[in-house]
Amino acid sequence: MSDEIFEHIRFEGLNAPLRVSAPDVVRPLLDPIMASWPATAGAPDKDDPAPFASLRPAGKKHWELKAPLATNPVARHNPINAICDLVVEISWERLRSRPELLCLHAAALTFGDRLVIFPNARRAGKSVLTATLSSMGHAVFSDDFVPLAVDPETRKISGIANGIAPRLRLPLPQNISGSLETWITDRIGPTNRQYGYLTGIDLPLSGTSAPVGAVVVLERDTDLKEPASLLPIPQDEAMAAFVTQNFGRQVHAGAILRITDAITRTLPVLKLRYNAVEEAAALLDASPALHNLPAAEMPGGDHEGPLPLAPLDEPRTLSNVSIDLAGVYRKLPNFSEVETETCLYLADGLGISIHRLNPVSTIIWKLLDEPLSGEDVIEVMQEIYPDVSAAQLRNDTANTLKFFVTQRLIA
Amino acid sequence: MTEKKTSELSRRALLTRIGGLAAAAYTVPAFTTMSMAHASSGSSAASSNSSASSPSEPSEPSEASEASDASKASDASGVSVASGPSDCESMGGTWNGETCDVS
Repeated sequence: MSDEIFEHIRFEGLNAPLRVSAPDVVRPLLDPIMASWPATAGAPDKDDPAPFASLRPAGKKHWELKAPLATNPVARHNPINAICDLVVEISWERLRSRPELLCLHAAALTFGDRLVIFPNARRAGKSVLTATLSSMGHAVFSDDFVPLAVDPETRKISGIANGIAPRLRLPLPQNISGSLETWITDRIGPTNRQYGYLTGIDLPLSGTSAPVGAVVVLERDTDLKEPASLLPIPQDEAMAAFVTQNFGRQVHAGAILRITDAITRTLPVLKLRYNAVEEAAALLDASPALHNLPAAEMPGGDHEGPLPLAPLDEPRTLSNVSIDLAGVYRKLPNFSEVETETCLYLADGLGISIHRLNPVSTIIWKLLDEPLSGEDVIEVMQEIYPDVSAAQLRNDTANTLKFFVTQRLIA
Repeated sequence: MTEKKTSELSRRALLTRIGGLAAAAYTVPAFTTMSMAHASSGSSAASSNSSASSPSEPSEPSEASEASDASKASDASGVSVASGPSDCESMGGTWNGETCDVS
């Protein structure tokens, strides 16, 4: 029989509680980081669901995080890194609690009354940029993951604040000014030599929402000598950034595709190329392109009500598929497609997957707008591409049809 | 099979269906699975591109493979996770690229 002292923290909006052992040790570090996420704490209640995670000190230097649904269900870290992992688990629990949310791996800050999304990019300096924009008065909805929701009535697409303090990698970059370094350092709370949480800033409460108004893709180039630039990018690039940074995929693929299309087609989508973070933040802050932003909205006539979910119990692809080129193939119903200048994005009707087709595979897809045999597809391809060998066209067409069949796009 | 069915008229209709795409230079038909549904747990897979056969088009790496071998989901890289390899090593754990496992 354990005499361990523990409690349940019930974060608003999460189905399951967090179990915390030795709260007198854990909470002084955890509470400032989660200060803007309303929660109640107390003894476990008989009606509580099983905790989504358990956090406890394990020895003098380490804490143990148990999260049954995580890739590593048991991990032991120094306390700050254990909290980092816990934050990840909290993001998953948010999605488990509200599976109709999209969740982007991105930072999000307010510009006026709109939200600007910064999809994650490798070594882009997202967290320092977030802190710098915060120092200029932009409210931080998140520095790492942004849940998106579509209002079932207004069809507006909004981001939801996390209420979790932004996390900075330490040490801070050497090329920031002394004043910014002081501003950040004065506001860093719980820290270790690797990470520091920026707890000394006002964060919107978890659950606060704001319409998405723009997307800025970050491209940091430490060799860049020219001034920072903020320029529009093609929709295709924006679509790819958005789709690939969407995680926790329970929402129907077609709905994701349509939301992504609505955002990237109707809002400013820009690329920020920069080297020095303060110059980049000043450019963003002053740019007319990020003033008086529109609000992202689903087009009229789109699916109403809560976003549909994908059937997770279905196999992701069909196996043992063989192609009979004499056979007639037809598109399966309810697929969604978005065509950009350079490619076609396609989601199957069940809502399992999103694919990107290049122009030639798009041709084959379009030829199947009405039922057509494989031989007929090949014949048309031969007419379009008389210089390509018949054998290659035959092989490529067969493989493309096979892909469409395995992905439940045609039958 | 095709001489009557794919008459000049219907062939023209098929070419109309694909519009300006018919002007595209030939590249191997390629398809990349960008995102795949999954439950809200664990981390996500690395990206992988695919195409029907070699050679590949310039912008997307491809493999000489059947379409069914093709695409793994390349969805989100997942939210950031905790410790780095150095911290992990000092704890006697195993760094798997994202997290430190000392269990």
